[in-house]
Order: sequence, then structure tokens, then C-alpha cells
Amino acid sequence: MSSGLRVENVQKSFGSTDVLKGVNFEIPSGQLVSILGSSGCGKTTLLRIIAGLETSSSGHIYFDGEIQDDIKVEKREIAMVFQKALLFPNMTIGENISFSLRVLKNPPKDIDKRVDEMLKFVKLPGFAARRPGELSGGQEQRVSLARALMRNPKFLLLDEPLSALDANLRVEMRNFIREIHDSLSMTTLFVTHDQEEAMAIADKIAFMDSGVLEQFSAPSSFISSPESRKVAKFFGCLNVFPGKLEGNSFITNFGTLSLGDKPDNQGSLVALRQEDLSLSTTKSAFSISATVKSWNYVGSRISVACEVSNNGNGSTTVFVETDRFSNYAENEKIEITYDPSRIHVVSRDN
Amino acid sequence: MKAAIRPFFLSLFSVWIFLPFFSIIVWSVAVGWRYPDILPRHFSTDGYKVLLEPKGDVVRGIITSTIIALIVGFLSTVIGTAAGRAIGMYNFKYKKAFQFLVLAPLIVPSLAVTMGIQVLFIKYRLANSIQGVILAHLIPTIPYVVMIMSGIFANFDRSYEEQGRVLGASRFKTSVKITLPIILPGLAVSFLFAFVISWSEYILTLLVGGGVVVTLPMALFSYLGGYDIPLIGVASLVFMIPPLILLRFTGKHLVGRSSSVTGLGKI
Repeated sequence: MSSGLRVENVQKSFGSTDVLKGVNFEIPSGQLVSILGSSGCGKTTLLRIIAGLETSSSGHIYFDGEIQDDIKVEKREIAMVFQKALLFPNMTIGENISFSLRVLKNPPKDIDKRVDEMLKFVKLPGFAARRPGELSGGQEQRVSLARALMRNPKFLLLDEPLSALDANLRVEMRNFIREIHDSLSMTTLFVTHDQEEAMAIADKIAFMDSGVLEQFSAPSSFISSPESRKVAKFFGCLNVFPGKLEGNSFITNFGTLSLGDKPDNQGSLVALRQEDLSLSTTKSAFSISATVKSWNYVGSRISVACEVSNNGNGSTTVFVETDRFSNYAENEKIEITYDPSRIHVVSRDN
Repeated sequence: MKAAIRPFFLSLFSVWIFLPFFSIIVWSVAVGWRYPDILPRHFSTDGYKVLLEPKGDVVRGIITSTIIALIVGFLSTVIGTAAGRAIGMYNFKYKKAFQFLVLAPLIVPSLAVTMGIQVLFIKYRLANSIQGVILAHLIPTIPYVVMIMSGIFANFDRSYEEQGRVLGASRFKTSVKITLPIILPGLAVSFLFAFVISWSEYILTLLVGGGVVVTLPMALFSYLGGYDIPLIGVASLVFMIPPLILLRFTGKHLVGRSSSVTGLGKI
């Protein structure tokens, strides 16, 4: 049997609301996968079903090929960290960390030693005797992580573990989680609503929307080859246009775009990332004539809104991101230049 | 200025609290203490001798009262905690109605309730028995426990239990190692309330116990009728001891020092 995690056609309804509409994916063991989506997309419910805290309405969960449906939460080879650190207030930090060992039938003899090692591992040496209230948010979440790791889980489930932390700490902690994942052999599932966070630490991203797994692929694919309109929009692609694929060109309302090679997929949408476009004054085979309408800063760069005529039938706005030193006047005539290999045909229009 | 006033009010407050105790202590050893005497003319320890009589009403009353109050404290804490968890943590159909039913005994005088159920108690042979008295005492004690515990559970984050489970603890171990310690202050306060209410209950004991079950308040009342003042003093002192002992151990949970009990919580 395959090793790793398999989610097979998992459905979940609360009353008449379908929270998960048949989710399928497989994670080879040792990978760090992020389940990404905005709130209410079902990502936390999915994680809770994998943990056993929730039962699916139908479908199955497999750990290393073994079906988990009838296995109790505490018997599953997992450990979970929640958004809140949830350190047990009636225990010291050390007791918190050793909790999973102390509830075993035969607790190991060297608990204190293991706690000390674990505290060193999460860079909190000497914290064993402290109480939960004496720690900062970041420290608490590291203790929570240490407590989960103490169980030596095959599958580490993280439910938005960094959402309660401030921005700088979040970046530090996510790198730390990646580091920990790499130094231990386990499969990690990381639920987040933060696209940047998912892109930064995951081997693969499972992007969910309204209970449907929209795309499951490497982070870079979400940028260069989104599979649906929703994915393209969520990952910040401003230019998604309808049209028709004909051979190796795509016909839009405002003209025909050359695609370089003939794409492997079919679709009636095309995505052009604004960063992949550039503005120039000279016409070429891979350019579109446009008029500058407005511009504004996006971080340290400038987003220019250009109007392209739909062959006399209205117009389409195309956004182009350029460096901040570019200077354009309103209504200036300009050429939007594209790289045919970077134009992506989107398979699904949802 | 402020620092000088504080001790003054504190001592005034202490006098206000402790002066009645002092007079009871004096009464318990006084023989003939009349106006305008500041102190009694004669002292006697007769009251204490009666107290120590092995077959006297006071000793019997103490034993019976202790047994009843301990059992009532335990039972109402268990029952009230279950109901309190339901009210504090979950939403269910007719919750408001259920809440009202649970708290109803606090609104309806227990005397009225008991008059009504006395017939039932006789029918089920619970009248004139300790079991019957215990059952009757649960009527005024459970609502208090439910009130306290629903507040505790409303502030209890259920995720703690889930966190326990995903770390490998069974439902039972999670309850014992996580939930129980967190709600312990509430349980202590609940037990204290139930114990004290049962300990000082008179009417319900009289009606259901029918004079066969003699608790300490029953003995006290019979002395009141006999106007045996030293004995009343002694019995009153004894009467105060168990609640004070309990208060000593649970008192810290009544004030803000405990994180899980904030006043009586929200309901």
C-alpha cells in the first residue's frame, strides 16, 4: 500500500449546507502540504475529519493505506496544533509538553530528559517549570508545537497555527515550521488562508473554494498555470479574459494572442499575469495596442490600467505591472508586449 | 490620609462581623446574663457537657447533618455540573425552558414545593427517612450548582478537550487530566454552597423527615423552644464550624484570585 495520506471523495454536510463536496487528494509521506482557501471554504473541516474530530458524511481517509474511518481520534498517528496555543492552564510548560507521554499506558522513564531536549529543539531551553501565562504568543505557539512533536506523529496537522501571531513573528515561525518538518520524517498538513504563507513553506498546495478542491499542485503552478478562474483571481492574476482556443493562438474580444506552442489543455479563458506583461512604444508580433488610463502603486511597483479596444465594440481593461521609474501620461498610446510562452489557457471557468 | 482610613474601616468591619460570634461564645457559658450586666454573673460549662453527651440530640444532629450535607453536596455537584455543562456549552431545543425549570426552585419557595411532593414521598416510602431528606435537599441546592457551573462552562474552551484528544488522550483521560482541573474551582464552590444550604435546611427536613431524621438545625430549634440559652449558644457554635472549615478550603475560589471563577460567571 502507498505510504502517506489519502483523502478519498470526502463529503461533509452540516444540516442542508454542503461544507465539503467530494474532496480527493493524495500526499506522499514526508511532504509538507498546505490546504489553502478563504474562510468557510471547508479547509478546517477537512483537517478535523483527517484528525478524527469530525466524521465525514461520506468518503474515506487513509493513513499509509490503512482506512481511518473507525479509528478514534486518540488512536490516530497524528498530532494537531490549533490557531490558539491551548496550553493546559493547570500544567507547567514541561507538563504540557510531556502530556502525550504521560497519558500512555506505560509512560517512558526519561520524560524530564525528553522534555529538556524538546525545549532545546524549539529554542526555549529552561522553560520547563514556567506556567502558560508567563509566555509570549510566539513562545506559546512553539510550546504547542513542541507538545505535538513529542507524540512523534506520522502526520502533523496544523490548523492556522500562525494566524494569531503578528506579521514579523509569522514569517519567523513559518520558516521554523519548515525547518522542523525537514529535520523530522513526517507528513505535515498546514491549513492557512494566507496565500503568501502557503507559497513560502509548502511543497504542494491544495487550494479549496466552497468545499471543492480547485487545484492541487506545486506552489509555482498556481501562478504560472492556474486551472480555474477562481485560482487565477485568488493568486492575484488581474487579467483573465474569455475567448476561444484555435491551434496555438487564443482569440479574445480585443484580438488574437499567440501562445507559442499549442497548449495541452482546453479552455475558454486565458490568464495573463500583469507582471509578465511590459509596456513599450514599438509595435511587435507579440504586442497589443492600448491607451493608458490610470496607474497606482502596488508595493514598490506601479500597476498601469490600459484600455484595449474590442475591435470597435467597447473595450477591455488590461493591467500591466511595471517598475516605479516608468512614466506615462493619461491617454498615451502604448504597446502591451507579452511573452507567448507565459500566456496560460485556463481549463475551468468557475 | 487614605492609608490611615483603611485600617480603621477594616477594624470596624471586623468588629461588625465578629461581635455576634463573641456574644454567642459568651452565651454558651453564661448563667443568667441580664441587662444591665456587661458580663454574666456566673459561668458554667453545662452546655458543653450536654454537647458531649454521646446519645444527646446535638451529637446525633451533628452526625446526621454531616452525612446528609456531604451526600447532598456530592450529588448536587454531580447533577448540577452535568446540567451546567449542557447550559453553558451547548445550544439545544427548548434551552430557555430547561434553564427556567432548573432555576425554578429558587423562585418558588421550597416550602410550597415540599408541601406538594410530600404526598409522593409518602407514596414511595421516602417520608421519614434520610434518603427522603437527601432527595428533598437537592431541590434548593441543584439550582445553585447549575448556576455556578453553567458560568464556568460558558467560559470553558472546548478546544482544550479536543487538544487533549489529538495528543493521544482518551475521552476519559481528557476529562480527568484537563477538564476536571480547569473546572475544579467551580466544583469546590458548588460543593460549598450545596453543603451549607443542606447543613442549615430546616423546613424541608422537618416536613420530609417528620421528626424522625434529627439534624442539627432540628436539635437547635427544639432547644430554642426550651429556652436553654447556654445549649443554644453551644449548638450555634458547633453549627458554624463545618461551613467555616469548608470556606477555608474553597474561599480562594470565591474571590478574583481564581481564573476560572469570575464572580458567579455569566448565565
